[in-house]
Amino acid sequence: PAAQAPPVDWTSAFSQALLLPILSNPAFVQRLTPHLPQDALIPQTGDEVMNTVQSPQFQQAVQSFASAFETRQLGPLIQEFNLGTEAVQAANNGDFEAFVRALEKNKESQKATSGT
Amino acid sequence: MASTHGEWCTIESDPAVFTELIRDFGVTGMQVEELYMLDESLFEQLRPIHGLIFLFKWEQEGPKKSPPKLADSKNIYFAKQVIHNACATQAIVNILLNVEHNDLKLGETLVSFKEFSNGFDPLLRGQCLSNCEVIRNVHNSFARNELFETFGRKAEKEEDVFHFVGYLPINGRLIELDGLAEGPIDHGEIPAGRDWLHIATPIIENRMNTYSGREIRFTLLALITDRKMVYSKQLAELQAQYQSMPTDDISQQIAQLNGLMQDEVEKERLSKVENIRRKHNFLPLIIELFKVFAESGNLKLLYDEASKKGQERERRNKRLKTEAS
Repeated sequence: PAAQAPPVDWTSAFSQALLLPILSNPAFVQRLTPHLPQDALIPQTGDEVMNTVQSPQFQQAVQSFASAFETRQLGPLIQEFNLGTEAVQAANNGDFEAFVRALEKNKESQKATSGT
Repeated sequence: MASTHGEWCTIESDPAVFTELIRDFGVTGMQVEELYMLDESLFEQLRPIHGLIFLFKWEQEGPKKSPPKLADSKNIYFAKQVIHNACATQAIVNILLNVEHNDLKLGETLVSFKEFSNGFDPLLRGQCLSNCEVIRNVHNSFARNELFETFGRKAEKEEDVFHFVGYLPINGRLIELDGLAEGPIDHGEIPAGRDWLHIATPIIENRMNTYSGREIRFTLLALITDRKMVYSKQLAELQAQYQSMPTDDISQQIAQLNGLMQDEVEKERLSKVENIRRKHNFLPLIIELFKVFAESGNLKLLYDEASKKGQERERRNKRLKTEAS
């Protein structure tokens, strides 16, 4: 499945350089920290998001996520996250490029609706 | 964990996992460390070492060997392995139930398990272990988060299967506990005055050599006394010495031990954090990251980075293949 899809390696994509601008925005940090493990040993901070994303355990999870996605297993799960029908379609096809496009479009349409 | 009744999950062969695993069984006074080499200088740092676990990628047709000499199993606790995924727990339990050392407190769960199963033969003991709900629940709590376990496993071609073998001294003999063998394997007497680790080293090295050249990964773990316990005992002794005769040398040793103690506390904290992450379901965080990247306008950048890395990886793999052929 998805033999023609261009190879993507998400594990090393979430680099410090790409995360820093995201984590300098408190509004984004606030949206990410609730998804960290909830434990007294895990501070709910942007720094901890960085530590977590760089950890082998998270990278392993991303790898599993990516291989499940590419083998077209994640459609039903993506559906539960309200990312729009195009994102679900992309997941059903195991097509990351289309998934990325769908998420960007989704963001624009959300902007449009909240603007009116 | 909502796994099907009676099922055992695979767990990671990592010292932090093993240490927390045995502590969750109720064992105190012990921890598990990785040995990166079989070397006296490393043994010295970790003593007392009560047992070794050698684990390697398991292949159906192992190297042909002459049949091992079985030990007189009367005074050895040995359970056969009946379920593959249980082998990590099986190996460590087999070792723990044979260690006789003042530092080790087995705790209620393992004491009653031993009492219950001690009269059985190795096969029935193995079945008892795989049916022991308390032990199984602790073991399964270290499974990678289930969602990814289910999805990830199908996606990966063939899950690597690891086999765990224990080595430890029992009644003055070096014994190997391999859950796939017919019984405990006898590697002979440990000569008086010799450290069992020095007897075990060439045997394990030999075993490693039979796998070298082929692409087989192996790891060596050691069951040792809780380092914090060792350090506080040494600290108490030094402090008593210092009180009766204060010298610079002793105060220096005390400072050094305090440093080691602090390192150990920090290491334990990091291990706990690692284990918390292992058990966490990261899917919501991954999705939220994608959303946040999309909203910040950086998702395309992230995708481009992933493609770049993906292509690099593919080129690397191709190169490796051509080099290998």
